Amino acid sequence: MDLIGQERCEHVFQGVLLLSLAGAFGAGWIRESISLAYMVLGAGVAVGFVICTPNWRVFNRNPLTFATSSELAADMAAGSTGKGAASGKAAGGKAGASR
Amino acid sequence: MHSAGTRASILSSYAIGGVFLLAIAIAVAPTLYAPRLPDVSVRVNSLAFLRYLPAEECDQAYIALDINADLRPLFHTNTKHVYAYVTAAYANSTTHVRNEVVVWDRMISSREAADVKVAKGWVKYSLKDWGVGLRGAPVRLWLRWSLMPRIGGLAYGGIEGEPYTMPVEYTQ
Repeated sequence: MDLIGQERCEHVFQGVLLLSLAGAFGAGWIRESISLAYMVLGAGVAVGFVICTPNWRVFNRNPLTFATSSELAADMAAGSTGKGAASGKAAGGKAGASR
Repeated sequence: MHSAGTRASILSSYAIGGVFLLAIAIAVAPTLYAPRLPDVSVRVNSLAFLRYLPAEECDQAYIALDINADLRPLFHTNTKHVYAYVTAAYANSTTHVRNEVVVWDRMISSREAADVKVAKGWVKYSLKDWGVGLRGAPVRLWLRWSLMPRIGGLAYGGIEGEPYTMPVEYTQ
């Protein structure tokens, strides 16, 4: 999973969990059964695990592109005045573009 | 979240949080609205005897009750069972101004069993005083209940029945 995919994955699971919580409480209240409520919650959690645990292709649409060794060498040569400026430029240029 | 293992771990902790949230919701929700009070009437049908027990040096009364209690409104999602009991409360002296004795009880585990109708039911536990104070004592009957939940805390309630006055003399 790429970084954006990881964030989406977490949000998707939170959404599934909240929806199944609401459904579980409603079903349990209407049928007056706590065991039914927990079965509904368990089903929702199972669905969430199937969606979010495997490394699905949907969560890999924003791959990171890494700097090549020649670019890194150029950065290090240019950044002799200060390390912070060099690493900031590299992160801003490459990782920022991948997002 | 970078590997399937860490995802499974993090999602499990979310899921456990969900389990507790659901438990809290089930425990709290019934307390947020005022329940309909059950229809209850309790009265003394008849008195078998009021006597002095020499062995225990106390008064003992044996009574039969008419109980008409529809406790079905007490049942909701979070009710495991209802313990219903009848107490007889009386004041008989300056040293013991408040006496309360359980004379009858019943465990109710389902809504179907919650419509309690007892006609001339002799009490399970006879009414015994701490001493010799039952003659002429005015007795206030209460039907009380404790609600045992599946999740959360106990709840209590009660409704007063018809008062009764003990005979002035021993009947045997």
